[in-house]
Amino acid sequence: MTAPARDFDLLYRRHAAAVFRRARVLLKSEAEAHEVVQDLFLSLLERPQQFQGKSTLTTWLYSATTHACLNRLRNQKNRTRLLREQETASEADSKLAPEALLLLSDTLHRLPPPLGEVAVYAFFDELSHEEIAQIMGCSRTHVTNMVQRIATWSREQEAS
Amino acid sequence: MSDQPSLTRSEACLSDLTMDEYLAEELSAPARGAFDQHLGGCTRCQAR
Repeated sequence: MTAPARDFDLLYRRHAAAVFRRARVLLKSEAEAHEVVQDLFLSLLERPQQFQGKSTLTTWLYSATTHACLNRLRNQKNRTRLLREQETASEADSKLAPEALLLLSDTLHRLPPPLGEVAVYAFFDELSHEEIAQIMGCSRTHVTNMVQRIATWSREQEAS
Repeated sequence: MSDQPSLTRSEACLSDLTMDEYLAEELSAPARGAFDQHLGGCTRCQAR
């Protein structure tokens, strides 16, 4: 095995499990989570310059995994599957809070991309605005503004 | 670590991201110290 291949092998062994865990939680599907892991690490192998070292690799992968999962959740087939699972699960069976289920099933795919990402971090992961700012590489004030926009957007959706 | 997100995490508790950074040995020495200190006294984070 060459040195770069060894490095990548080490990187994969160190981080793949965390990527898989996160993707499985967001997508509620082991098969899809495996696909996300494969896609993400293949992409990183082909274009390592994507990771510019502005954060830890774990933070970068956390964000990249969230993006990949959001894209899949915007896919009609996945939304249909999640809605069906939500309908068949009783409230007692559900391990997720109602707002998290709502985010994953119906609302999330309709939020504009940056707001969708913030919604996952704020309401699903329960990260602080400071932590979200760190992941997204923006200011805490900007995160607070985006959270307020999500709240406004939700109220408008309810009213319409 | 649990597969489920920490839906009722308090401000002081460790995020899943921080836990992953810890496991990947990416935390700075002070952050690692704060992590260990919190984990030592928080049964909720220990259980995750």
